Amino acid sequence: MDRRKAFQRISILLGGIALAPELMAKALADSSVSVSAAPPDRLRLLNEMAETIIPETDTPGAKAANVGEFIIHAVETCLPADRRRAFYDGLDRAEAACTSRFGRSFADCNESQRISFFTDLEKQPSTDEGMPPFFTALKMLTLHGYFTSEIGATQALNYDPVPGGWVADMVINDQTKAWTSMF
Amino acid sequence: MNLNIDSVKKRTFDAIVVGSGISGGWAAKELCEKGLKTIVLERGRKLDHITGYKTALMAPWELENRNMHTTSDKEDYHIQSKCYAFNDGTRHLFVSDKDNPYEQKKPFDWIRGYHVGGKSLMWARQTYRWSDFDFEANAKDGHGSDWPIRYADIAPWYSYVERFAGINGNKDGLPQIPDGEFLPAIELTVLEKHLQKVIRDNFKGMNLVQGRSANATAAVNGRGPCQFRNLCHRGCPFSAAFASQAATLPAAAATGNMTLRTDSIVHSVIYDESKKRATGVRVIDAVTREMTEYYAKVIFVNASTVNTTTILLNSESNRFPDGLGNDSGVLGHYLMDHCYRGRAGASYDGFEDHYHKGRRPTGFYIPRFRNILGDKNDSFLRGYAIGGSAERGAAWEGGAWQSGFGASFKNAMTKPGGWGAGFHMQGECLPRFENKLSINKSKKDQYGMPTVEFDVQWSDNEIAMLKDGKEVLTAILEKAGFKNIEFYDSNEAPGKGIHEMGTARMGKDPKTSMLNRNNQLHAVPNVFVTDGACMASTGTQNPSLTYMALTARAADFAVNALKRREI
Repeated sequence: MDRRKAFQRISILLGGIALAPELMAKALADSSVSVSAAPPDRLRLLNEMAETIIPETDTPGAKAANVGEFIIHAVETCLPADRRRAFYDGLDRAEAACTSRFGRSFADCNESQRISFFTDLEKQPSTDEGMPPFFTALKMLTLHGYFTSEIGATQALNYDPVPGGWVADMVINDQTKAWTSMF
Repeated sequence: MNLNIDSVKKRTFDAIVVGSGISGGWAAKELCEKGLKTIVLERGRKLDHITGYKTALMAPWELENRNMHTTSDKEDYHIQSKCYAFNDGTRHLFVSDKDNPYEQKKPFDWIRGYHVGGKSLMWARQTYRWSDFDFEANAKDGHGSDWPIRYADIAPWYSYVERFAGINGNKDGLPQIPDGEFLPAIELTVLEKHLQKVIRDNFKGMNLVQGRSANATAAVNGRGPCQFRNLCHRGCPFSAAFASQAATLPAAAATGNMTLRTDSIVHSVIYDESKKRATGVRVIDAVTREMTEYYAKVIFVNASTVNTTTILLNSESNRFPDGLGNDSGVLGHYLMDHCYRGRAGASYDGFEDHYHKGRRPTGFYIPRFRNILGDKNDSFLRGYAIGGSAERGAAWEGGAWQSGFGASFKNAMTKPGGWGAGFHMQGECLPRFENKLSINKSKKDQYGMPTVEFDVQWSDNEIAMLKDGKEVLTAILEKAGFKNIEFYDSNEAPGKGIHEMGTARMGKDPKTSMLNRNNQLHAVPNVFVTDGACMASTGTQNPSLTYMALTARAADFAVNALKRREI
């Protein structure tokens, strides 16, 4: 099971975050790319985008969990250079498109503007061959960041750090929350 | 002069055990309990039970990268990070590939942990007995040296180690994985039970059982019980997962007979031509790089397959110019690993109102069914087992590929995901002379040890199993009503199964093998090898339980032979 589970996780990462080996090798060979310095408004922008995907409801949203900070950490630390560039390019393009459409940053848009913008963004295919569309990458990072944060893991999900036993079969209803993934 | 005598005396023991992993831990326990003053030499750092498990109780948000691999992992741990158990919580238990290089004539993933306990901390803990289908396989089809033992020789030792280690499972009554001394089983999920029934009713000769594992589901010898966290790879603070420092090393220490020396890289075994015996080992201190000798009447080399054989190859003398005990020339040859290339995944619509609680440290297991018990498949020799699990994940884990965002999307993401199953084939690997490791004495590592070079590849026989596995798994999953059935070849290199076996194999004939039926070097009777290096074939089962049993058996023999003054 450990192998299977690990594989499942890896395949999830391969789809969204980690990279195909050949692309990885290419990225690693590219040592000329320095770690991009995050502009100060990037954290705010990413937190607002993440909040639009995972908003505050009866539990806190992505902004309260500071998912933007996780996204920046993941992009800087875990993505190879070309994936990192593709993500920031996608972010810059999205922000530019939003500004030209509404005359303001996504972070300053109202809820209906944000929903309208993301509805269109979600339909856009990837601009880089071999890369997931920007919105998919953003969503992947947002979900991972939120549901592994203390807020997401303990409030939005059912946190059970020391189960103490194994129940092979339990009946649930449509209100039952998923167990927190512990890795 | 007196000082010198004192110093030699301090470095003289009854027994030396090289390595503190699964087999070294068992050698230490058995030799110490039988009264031998024993020094255990561990090449890696000190790592204490519980207090040394720095990530054991960390929550997901406390892990530095929330369990994602980093770009520096791909540089510093480019081989180790391929291991299923390598993650944010276990990174510190794997060696840096940058600092511990080796050569690959053909790709070989050498997974290592250099610390007390070795890989017994990070192993997957699947534990199955071998049967005579395995011990007789070499003799029957002529590949490899005939095992010098049969199931009856090892069966009581399986019982002996199971009672101490704590193995969970069911008595399944299957001859290819004989029943043992089991702790309470871990119940299958509803989907696994469905799969089990479909297999039983439709696929003759195949059986799906609970994966037996070395996790104490009930308290055993003061350890456990398992808390079902499934974070065993970080080290178990409840002592339920079997690891050397949780189980065998404390037992050895309790006798007062054990000395454990860490940061001690064994360079070679010292051979005395006049006595025709090994007299000790040369040790490089990993910190100071100083070389010291230790002496004993009996030496157990349990450094793990590759390092054990490296030490033997590096032990040159006039009598043994090609490595200690290597009269046959097979030392380093017949390197094997289980072939895990065949994988499958599928989803299942149904059981929506069923879920599970807790995280199991195991899954299910389909023991070998090919070319035994009346089955005959002409496209390959021997067979394969299939491991896996069928569970529900969390919806968010696959959420990036679902459309939507906002409150209703968030709500959906907090729910359990659909049911799915994952499978991996575990193919027997034929012993082949061409698959070998060698040492390069002109290229030393930072400690002054020769570097290892691998020249290993899968044979047609292992690859032929993949086609059969695809047909079998597809048929089962279709019959059981699964959707999105996908079979694929991971194409992974040998080594990644982390069941590296062979290179100092057991056999009846000293001309074609290194070790006899008691795991003694044919030519040097006071040197024993009971780790994966001793294996003459791979079987289809995970090998660690067999290493434990062989070690306990060999230690018993060694102590009796010492008493009889035979060694």
